[in-house]
Amino acid sequence: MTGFRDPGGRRRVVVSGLGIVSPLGIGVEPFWKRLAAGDCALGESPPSSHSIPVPPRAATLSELAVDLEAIVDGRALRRVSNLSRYSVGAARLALERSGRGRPGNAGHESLLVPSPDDTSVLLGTSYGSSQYHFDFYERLSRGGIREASPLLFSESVMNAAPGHVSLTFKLRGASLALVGGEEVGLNAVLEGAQRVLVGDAGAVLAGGAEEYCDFVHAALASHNFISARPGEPYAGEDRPSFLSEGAAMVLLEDEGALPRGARPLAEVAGMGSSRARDDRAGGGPSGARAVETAVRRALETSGLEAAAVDLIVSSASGGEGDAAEAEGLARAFSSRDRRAPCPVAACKAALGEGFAFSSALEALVAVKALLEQVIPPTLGSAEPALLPRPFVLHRTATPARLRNALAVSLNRRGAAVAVVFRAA
Amino acid sequence: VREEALRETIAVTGLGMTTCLGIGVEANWRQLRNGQTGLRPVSRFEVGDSPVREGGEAPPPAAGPTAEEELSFEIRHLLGVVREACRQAGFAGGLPQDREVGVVVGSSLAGSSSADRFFKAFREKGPREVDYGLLRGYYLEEELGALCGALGAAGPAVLVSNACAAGGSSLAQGARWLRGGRADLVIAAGYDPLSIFTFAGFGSLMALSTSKLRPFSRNRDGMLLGDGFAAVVLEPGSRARAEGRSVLAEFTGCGESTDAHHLTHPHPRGEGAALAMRRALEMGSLQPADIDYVNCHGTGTRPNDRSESWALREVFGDRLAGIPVSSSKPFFGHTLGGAGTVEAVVTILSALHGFLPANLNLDEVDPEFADLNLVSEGRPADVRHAMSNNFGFGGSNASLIFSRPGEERT
Repeated sequence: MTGFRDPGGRRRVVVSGLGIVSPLGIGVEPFWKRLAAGDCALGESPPSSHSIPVPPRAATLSELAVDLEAIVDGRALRRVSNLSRYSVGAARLALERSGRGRPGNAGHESLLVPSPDDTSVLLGTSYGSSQYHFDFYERLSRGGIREASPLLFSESVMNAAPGHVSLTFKLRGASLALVGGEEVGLNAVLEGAQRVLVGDAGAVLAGGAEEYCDFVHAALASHNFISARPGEPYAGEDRPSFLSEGAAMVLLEDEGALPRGARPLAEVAGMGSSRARDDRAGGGPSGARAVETAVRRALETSGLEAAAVDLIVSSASGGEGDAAEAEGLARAFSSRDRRAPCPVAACKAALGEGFAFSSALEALVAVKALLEQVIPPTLGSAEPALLPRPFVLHRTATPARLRNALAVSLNRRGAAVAVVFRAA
Repeated sequence: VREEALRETIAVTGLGMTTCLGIGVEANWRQLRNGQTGLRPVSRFEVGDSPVREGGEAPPPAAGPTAEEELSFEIRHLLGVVREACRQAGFAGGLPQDREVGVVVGSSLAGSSSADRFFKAFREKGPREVDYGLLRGYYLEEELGALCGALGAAGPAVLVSNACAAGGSSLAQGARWLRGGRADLVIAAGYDPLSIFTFAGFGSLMALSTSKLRPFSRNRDGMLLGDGFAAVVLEPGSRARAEGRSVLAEFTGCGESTDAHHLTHPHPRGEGAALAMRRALEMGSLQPADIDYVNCHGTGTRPNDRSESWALREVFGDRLAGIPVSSSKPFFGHTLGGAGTVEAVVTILSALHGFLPANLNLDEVDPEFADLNLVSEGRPADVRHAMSNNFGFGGSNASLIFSRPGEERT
């Protein structure tokens, strides 16, 4: 059984748009500029309105509120969750980036998409609109059923954010949230590409998003899922990175349906996923096997040898999953000449742990790196203890000839996803 | 091989179901045939002075392995229906290790029970003393991971959430994995428990009935909520037959769409719902005349029933009067993210047993629906192809078609 196949053998899935709303910048160019410069998004945690003792530092979009207003219609979305606003913003930017023209005023955005009836939205998330969800619960626990808020309830369902994206751009294909762990943003890209491949959608806006929530921040800290400092990917210190929020989306299309003269940004060349059979395996040998299997499937379906991969964008954060991810990559690339360096980039030192947002961002970074022909920097140790040869990290942005980039993500329960992007 | 994957029939070889009607498909079907509702006054939580009193509460989950005793009520029930479906499919001893098993679960508000527990403690201890570790179940990957771990499934796995269409989209996702070659055996499940979160939330939207759940009735006044857990085993038909497994039904077509009209209100003329139904027919190479029964979403709210009726008229046209339609929700309530899978099982059983359960509480049909062939009493019927519809918040729509094995299409 392979990672996926095109049953008809006729379609090529391409990335035609990229959109990002992140603490390092809103829009691909501002984001990339700061990422390449080696900036870190870490800042102060917002004050908790519930007096919750949250870690003091996180990466949030609070200082970019004005920039966000510029791309998200304030009137139509004034009462929706941050998750929905980030998602609509990232979707708008991805549609703009696809070269279909700038969106008009609210209500006219559907003009952007050639076939709105055939365009789906798949949004990965681990926690959904958690702030509204917990605010609803807090009121309920304090005042009983009569205190229940219809606004908070309807906005706190898991699919509210993709629903707002479909509503804003009048997209009538499927619209759903994929809920999972850290890998689920990249998994949404994989599932979106498969929808295009089997003919279930002409185009898919796919990616991941998370919003900052004080309850979630405290819960994640209590489990040591996040810290208040930048993690050092592959350093072996078992200290994860700080919490982050944002949205990253890609527009996937059947290459044959692109407008005349349009040039895709990259091709989705291959994909694979796997999951550890045993429970609670993300940091152990089973997680490594899942990474190995997912990567092997992605390479197999793309028709590439390990030697043809020029960049790996990984999900390493400095936490407990790094060892499994490194071991899985080493096994999957065992056929590669150890003397031929294989660059690895891990963005969680700069951007923190943003769960579904992070893994969708890995897809976006892989495509942008191919476009720029630049290996993005990984903050932290240049001599990572866990990462064997031929893998290398770059401390600074490094020009390189990049033809194929692999995005890979492993979650803490041992589910792994891998997607190969090929330069257009 | 590639073209064959698209042409391959998808076989349903196992079913599992738990609602307030009972644990197991047999217990549920017995009540559905007998026309007995399982909706009762809610006892799981205090409803206070809410005018809404009833809901559907499933019995406690059956005892499982000791290691699973700490799992939540809903995950234990979910495991129960998955194991029931696997047993029927011939995998009582465990899933085959030589097959790529995909697990897809549809749920609208999964994880909310962990928030229930947390906020009880939060109220008692305050923000500085409460144990935030109680929110671990809110990381839903914990629950999906627990399910996959218990099953030993290593293929693709995901939880899809598009509100009350999630159970239907779960089956559509499973079929896609089979068609795309990413799995050769799929467990597609859907669930949501009755909780104070959904009870209070839908109550705040004035969507709940203060009396009975009466879809398509003149005096309908909203829905009632219930526990719903169901699972379906899907696999390529050729393989199921070659290995001697009984094919209960063929999963012939599925269609998903979005209204793009309003986050919580359905399109008044059911345009998105009609799009999903047409897509399901198209995928199954079926004509409206091929459909012998429609299991409606039928929530009993005024906007939903009206919207769905317009969609049915749009899709089935003159044929509509000849097609029996009903809602199963008066039996077990609206099971939200579970509804698509629970009602898919009811639809499959209807075709399998040649019997249509009643649309209960149809005291007086709303004149607006006089053109619908509503099943007021349970009755035998010859069902070759049957459609199951589910719609939800976000404007999400999922329409599924199941067929008796080997049925011809016109």
